[in-house]
Amino acid sequence: MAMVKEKNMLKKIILSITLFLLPLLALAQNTEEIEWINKLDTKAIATFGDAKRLFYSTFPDLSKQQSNTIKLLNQYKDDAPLKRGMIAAIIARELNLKGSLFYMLTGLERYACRACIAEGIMSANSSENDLISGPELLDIMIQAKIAKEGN
Amino acid sequence: MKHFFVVIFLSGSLLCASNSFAEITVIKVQGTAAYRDGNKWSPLKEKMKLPEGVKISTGANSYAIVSLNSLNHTVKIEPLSMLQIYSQETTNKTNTHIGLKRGQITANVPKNESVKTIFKVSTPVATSSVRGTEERITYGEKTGMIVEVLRGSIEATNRFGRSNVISGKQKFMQISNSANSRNILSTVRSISIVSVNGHGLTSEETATSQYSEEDQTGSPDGDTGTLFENISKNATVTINLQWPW
Repeated sequence: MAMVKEKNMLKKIILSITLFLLPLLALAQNTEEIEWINKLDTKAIATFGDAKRLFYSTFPDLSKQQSNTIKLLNQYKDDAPLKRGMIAAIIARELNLKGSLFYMLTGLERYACRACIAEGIMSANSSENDLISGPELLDIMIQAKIAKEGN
Repeated sequence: MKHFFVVIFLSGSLLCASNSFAEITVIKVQGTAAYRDGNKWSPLKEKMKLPEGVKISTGANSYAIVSLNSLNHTVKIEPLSMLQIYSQETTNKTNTHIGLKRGQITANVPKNESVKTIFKVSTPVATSSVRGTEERITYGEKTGMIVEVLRGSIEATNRFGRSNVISGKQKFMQISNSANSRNILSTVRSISIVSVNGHGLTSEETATSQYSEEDQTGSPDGDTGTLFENISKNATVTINLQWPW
């Protein structure tokens, strides 16, 4: 009888602890993205994985629809240093940029880069092989979002 | 002695009145937004009061709208942005200073003749001052600072003290490694003027012709005939100029 009582007591304690911790867990998840973004803002060289994660959270609906974009998002390893051409290709494909015809025809990342420059998403004085820093990746994604929404 | 305390009290009250902090209140939050609370980030919630000098950061696909004082000066903080807000308010003066580290904000500063309004948005490359205006400001490491005026007019000054007053469809664009901002009409000019190469083709048409047959380089309205060289002909072009907008 005493054992059953103890078990019930233990269950109640576990339940109350869980109920107490649940909101805290929810808050942690809520700020986890912010902390990751601000950590990315200090990175000297971003990775392809960073670009992938940021892209998925910036365009959550679109990227699920386009299988070609998903193919591009799985083209490189997550820990590969991010080059301008890699992210340009994904953006040009996803946003269907006006100047991305040659990229669609040839598949060369340099044309995707040119299309992004023409739309003001990327700066002009750069090549597709340049490595991208965290702040630059954030900058590109902000501009891509603006271009998509037509601000 | 009694007079001395009265004077101290009055000057203290005056000092407090001249530097009273405005109430920074969160109006709306969509998605993930947080403010710096000591050493950690805490989630931003609607109707929350924020302290002077608060740092706010928004996540991807998220935004927050914050009221900066009792005069309904508001700022919409767009996705992936980070900023710091200083806002002070007295009965006849408001002084708001926003430091934009990255991202985009839309500031709305309704005109109020009876209150002296100072509203500045600074980035590492330039500062914009507004009065009775709605403006959109973007800053990124490579793209620099871009100020668009949605309503009214603003003055934007770069780090070298060179300023531009802009309104309408003009844009202030300042990149970090340049002493001068770009022409305020450069974005309008770039969509108004199309450079035409040989055969009367634009750059895009010339590039397309490399991948297509010769007879497919005509106009998009169905004229796909071959273009002849060295034929000069007069043409009439109607231009409708609207200035200012």
